[in-house]
Amino acid sequence: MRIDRLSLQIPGVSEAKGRELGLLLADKLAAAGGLPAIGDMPRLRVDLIADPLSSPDQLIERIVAEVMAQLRRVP
Amino acid sequence: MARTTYFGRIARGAKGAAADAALSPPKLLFRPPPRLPFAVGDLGHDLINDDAANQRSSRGIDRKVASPRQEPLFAEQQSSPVDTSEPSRQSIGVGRERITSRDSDALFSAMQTRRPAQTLDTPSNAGVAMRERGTDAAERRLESVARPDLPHLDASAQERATKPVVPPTAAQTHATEALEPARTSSSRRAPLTSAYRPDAASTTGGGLQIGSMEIRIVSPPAPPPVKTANPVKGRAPRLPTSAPTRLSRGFGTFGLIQG
Repeated sequence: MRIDRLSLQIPGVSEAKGRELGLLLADKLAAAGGLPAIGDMPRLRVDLIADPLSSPDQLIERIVAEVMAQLRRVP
Repeated sequence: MARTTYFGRIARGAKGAAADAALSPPKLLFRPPPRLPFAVGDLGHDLINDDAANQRSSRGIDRKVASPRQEPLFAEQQSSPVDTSEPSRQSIGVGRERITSRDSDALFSAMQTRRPAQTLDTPSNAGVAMRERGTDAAERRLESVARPDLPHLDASAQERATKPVVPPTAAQTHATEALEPARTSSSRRAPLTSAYRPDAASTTGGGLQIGSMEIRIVSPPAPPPVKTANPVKGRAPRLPTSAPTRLSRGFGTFGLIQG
């Protein structure tokens, strides 16, 4: 998988914390299975509602799950 | 009266021969010893006349073929009584002659050793001198000026040597690149594939590519404000109908609590 550009907009999170979450998200996506071997998606957008009670890892898990769901719909 | 003498012709012939030698490949400058057409002791033949009769009809190589075993091709050679004692001649075409191995040394007879033909303005005694000088030159076996260790140019090689040099074309000069040996396997550049860069598998065109991934986490919507009842009286505030306040007119829902 290759991601040319990754943008994270998380309110209430500092830039350093957002960078750390971005790296964690990349690792989770790389380790995820079931991705299509070949595909081209120019743009992928994920909108999630923050849960004040969830941890950052749980937030990343939700993001990965949503990305996987959209990638499976790639023709 | 000025007459052209034989010696003057010899001088001009030698000069012309030197000019020819400068423009032509080296030629052998000796003449093979004459082959006597009679047995030793036979004095009945005139050597000079026989030699004159055996003069070559054309410039160049001596056409005599000494092999008596070869059959003459022409009828006049077969019927001629003189030719019975002479070696037969054999021709295989115009300008070409078949030379046997026995007479291979005849190939090296030089043009310069030939005697010039006698002309009308040549005095009669000069012809005798010419024959004598020619006989002497024929009897002397001259050494070849050509080096035997160097290959002699044949007709085709001479033609190639005298052919003007043509400058090579661009295709010919660049043809060396096509003939350049290929690189060895060790010097070839390794292709940049996923086998060499596992992290660049998508650069080869395969794999999953995502141009832009935008992830937005939105905050949950704020809970609606809770309207609290008047804990003192427990009823909704009343607004005077006659004189409504400014707040009640502007912000209707947030009226002042009037006791």
